[in-house]
Amino acid sequence: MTRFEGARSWWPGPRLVSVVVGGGAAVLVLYPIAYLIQASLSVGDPQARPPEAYGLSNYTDLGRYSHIFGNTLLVAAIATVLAVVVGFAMGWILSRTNVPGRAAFEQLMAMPYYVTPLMGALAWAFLASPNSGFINEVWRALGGQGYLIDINTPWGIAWVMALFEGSVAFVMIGAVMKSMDPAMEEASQVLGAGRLRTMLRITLPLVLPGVLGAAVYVFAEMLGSFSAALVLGLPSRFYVVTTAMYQLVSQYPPRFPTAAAMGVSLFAVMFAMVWIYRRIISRGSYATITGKAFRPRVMDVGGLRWPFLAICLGYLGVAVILPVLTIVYASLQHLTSAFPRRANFTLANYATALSLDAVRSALANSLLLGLATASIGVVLMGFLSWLIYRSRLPGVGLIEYLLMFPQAVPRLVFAFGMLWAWLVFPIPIYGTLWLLLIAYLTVFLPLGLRTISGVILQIDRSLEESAQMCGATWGYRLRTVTMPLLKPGLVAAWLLLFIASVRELGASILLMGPKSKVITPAIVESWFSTSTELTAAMALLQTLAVAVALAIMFAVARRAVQAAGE
Amino acid sequence: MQHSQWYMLRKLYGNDFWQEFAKQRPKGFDARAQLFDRLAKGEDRVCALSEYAGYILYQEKGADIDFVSPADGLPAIAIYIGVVNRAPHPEAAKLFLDWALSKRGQQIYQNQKILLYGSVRADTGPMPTGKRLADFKLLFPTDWNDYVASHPVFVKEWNSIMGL
Amino acid sequence: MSRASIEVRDLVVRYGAVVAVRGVTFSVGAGEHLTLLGPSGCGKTTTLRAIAGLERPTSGEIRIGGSPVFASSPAVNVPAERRGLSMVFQSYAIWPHMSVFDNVAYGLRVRKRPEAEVARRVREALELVQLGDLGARSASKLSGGQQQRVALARAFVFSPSVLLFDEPLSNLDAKLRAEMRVELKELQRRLDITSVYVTHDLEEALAISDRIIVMRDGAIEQVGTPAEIYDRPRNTFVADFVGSANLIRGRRRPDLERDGLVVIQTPGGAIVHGIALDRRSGAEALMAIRTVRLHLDRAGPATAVNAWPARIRQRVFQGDFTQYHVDWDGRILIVRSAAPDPLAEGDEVVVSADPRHCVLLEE
Repeated sequence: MTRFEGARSWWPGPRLVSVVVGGGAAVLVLYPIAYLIQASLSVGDPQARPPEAYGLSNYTDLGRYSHIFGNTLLVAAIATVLAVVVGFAMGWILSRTNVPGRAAFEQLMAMPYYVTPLMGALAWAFLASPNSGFINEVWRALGGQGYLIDINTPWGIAWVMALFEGSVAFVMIGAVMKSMDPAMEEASQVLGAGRLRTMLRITLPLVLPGVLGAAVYVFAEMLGSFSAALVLGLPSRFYVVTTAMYQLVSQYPPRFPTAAAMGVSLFAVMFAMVWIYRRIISRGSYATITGKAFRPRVMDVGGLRWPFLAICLGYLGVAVILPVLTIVYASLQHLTSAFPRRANFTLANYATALSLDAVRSALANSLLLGLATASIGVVLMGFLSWLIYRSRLPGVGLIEYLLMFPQAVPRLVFAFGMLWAWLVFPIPIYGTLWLLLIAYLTVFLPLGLRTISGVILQIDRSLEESAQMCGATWGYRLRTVTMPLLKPGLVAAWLLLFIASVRELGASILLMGPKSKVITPAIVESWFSTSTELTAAMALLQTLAVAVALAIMFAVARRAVQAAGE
Repeated sequence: MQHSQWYMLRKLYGNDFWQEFAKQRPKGFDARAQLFDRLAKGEDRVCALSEYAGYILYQEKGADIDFVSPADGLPAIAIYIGVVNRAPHPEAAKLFLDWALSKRGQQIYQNQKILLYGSVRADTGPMPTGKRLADFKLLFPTDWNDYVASHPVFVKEWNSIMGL
Repeated sequence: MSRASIEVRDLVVRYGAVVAVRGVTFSVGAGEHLTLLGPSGCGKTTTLRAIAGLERPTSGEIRIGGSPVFASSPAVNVPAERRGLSMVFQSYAIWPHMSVFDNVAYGLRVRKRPEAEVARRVREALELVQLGDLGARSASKLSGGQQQRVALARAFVFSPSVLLFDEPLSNLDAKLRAEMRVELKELQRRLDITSVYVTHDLEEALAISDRIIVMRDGAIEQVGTPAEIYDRPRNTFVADFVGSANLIRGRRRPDLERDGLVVIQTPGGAIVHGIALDRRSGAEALMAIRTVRLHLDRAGPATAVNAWPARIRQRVFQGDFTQYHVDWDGRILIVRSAAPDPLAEGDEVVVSADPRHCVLLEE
């Protein structure tokens, strides 16, 4: 009898691996949360570390700020409704009707994400400030009174939130629509129901659970929104929990315990939302999610194509084209106005921005940090994904739960916990890029894990098992079968993490130090302390730098993917 | 700066002044850019805390704004330079102090566009805008201990005025 | 190639509350071709994967070539990659990022064979599966049938002691399946290897096996050669699953039994002679007659044993055979006949069966 002796296995023992990985994940994720809670229970002198005394008075005091919680829920709710309506409309138009240019629009729907909520907020501040906003100036030039739109209102803030943070609603609802078997609608039509009736009695009820799930998820994300409220809410004393926390922490003297109590409250609500979301999707939805993606049969909507096309173009207009043009326009002026005088135009903003060491070092830091986050992130999250979905280690369910935990915590709140936790850590990483790296890796865990595990799950288990049956050990299999198959997906995950890292604001604004400036918080700083025109120039420079870096990465990635396919 | 403003106007107009002021729902900003930006574009009508250098900067950009000194006076605060008690290089620090108080040092502080800190010396000539420090009626806290002791009260009231 | 024997003893595989395999015991001789046959969910694939090492049983023992590769006590669990087995997967599991050559060569390269030897053996293997000139092609550009052959070549190229098959033909269309069946059998003969095959397809199992194990709900229903399973099913399940059969129930008539035959009398009064093998029955007995083992003749005197008058109620033409639904004894008998002269609906006929084809079933 021949028994093949493969390479000796140095696998240290599954239980040990589980404990180590689980322990690491717990520290990374729960350590800041623990400190957050500790800070919120600190009564007595707010500056004392460790806390002088513990008590619940910070929470009871929150009654004073009930209007802030009300504001938060209000804008989150409005933004969610807007995002879901737009997401549903666009999803339906792009997957069900024969509007021209569907494929192109689907790709372009991701653009607002790249514009970033901060830049979007800045742009809409230029466009719709009640007095000096371009739209309002044009309105008055046309004979209108006062202003047409005031962006410094809850509606304005929610509008910007929905535009630039709401595209995830489109992605989720679009996925639900694609997973619906078109035969269900066709059956309705064959039996004599008209298009509208089919849409109302068949399509809508079938996609409703998925839409509901998307709404809950989007609402949870909106609770933690920061950029829009920061730029547009502060001038009118309109606080939401995240901006209130930011103010409390950056003022002198800082009020950590109050901010911590607010953060914990927000976290509790977000946690509840995420829990509800998971309940909705785990219940499965009627029979639409069969695991197959269907090619929906597109309806010929005849003349309605053109209004639909206008809607799509309109969406791109307000979410991408108009904001970018506005920023460019503003950055070229001394003092922004819709109808500037000749002398108002200048390139001085760009000259200043490029000469400012703060800008240059912030850009360099951001790109460096993005590189590090993406590279380390891909390896780390690749390993963790494989561990959770492919190994049979004990306790992977718990590990997965821990690693996905950050998605229930608003980024700013999490960063606050990290701030508090690492402030007096014996190793002096506070104020350095290392702290930002750790923060980014932690808050991006859900994003990276979701992306990479999607790729892993697409690789049929039997591909690895057949390698096993040919005698390959774990390491050999990984090298020759698993990694080559994963490569395209890993490249996509890398790009995603890079972009997410560069555009991050909520996590970095609290953790940035004078030696570790990164670009997005630097733009916010510039908004407050230099001039809005210079800020516009900086924002554009950031976009340009990221676009160039991405173009290079794309070229490299395409080469790598092609090589893998040969 | 805000502390001095709060303290001096309280002394001038009484302890209820700021509560009354709060009824106008004033907005607080972190730094001068937003303050002047909004003023210049007409989003806000009045800035209650004005930095002279900032005003000049925006005026040069073509903003239609004006710097108004009320007859009752302007609350002011001095920028302090000093030597700390455990300075590693006390002699070098003292040298810097001498320079800062010298005519040349004062002129630099005064004429720097983004500072425009009017000189306390008599012999440095006017600021680039033609004004001297002595042209403004300035209000300083005189009882320093009382001033410092009032800080916690200030923090509480100021926060509540600003809506936080 | 050295072929190994396999012994499975009291194998239990449990997933949480679900018991997929309930204490299964069987052995496969060296060089034998065994098939696990049964409907989906019967535990055949789980058993196969347990032998492969891809599933971890809850308890029991598995030996390959006499050495235990799994045992619950003392605890032994040799990982799949060290058992010296090989497997062909239902989905073929061809690696799309490699060429056909690299796919097949994988097992040899894992064993660090010199490249010259690898090239020679891969070439021979591809010739054997009739893909000789496709070595350089990318594996992502193959048809289903071609992928199947590559999977085969990959599986035997490194001379494993046992070859496992997990429903390898079920993703092919009917015609290809029929062709591949024959080729597989030929390959088995050439390779002279021990094989365990899992399928739910009856024809496949009958065609290629030395022995068949019929499974249901995690347990073994019957073990035997294809002919035994087919002509002598042990119980209703096997009779129904392995081809189509008529089940006839009746009262035992020991007074009519002679020559080692058993006799039952149906409620309608018909007398049926059959064989008991070593099965016992009570006063009531159940017999099975394969539909193809019944003969239909034009009406005539029904005097022989196991010949009864009947009438044709329905006729269904099926190409290779015609299926008749026959009124007999107050019920319907199903008869399949390849006879070229079709009988018409309503015809009076004589239906008969050799007693050796009427089998007593265990209940």
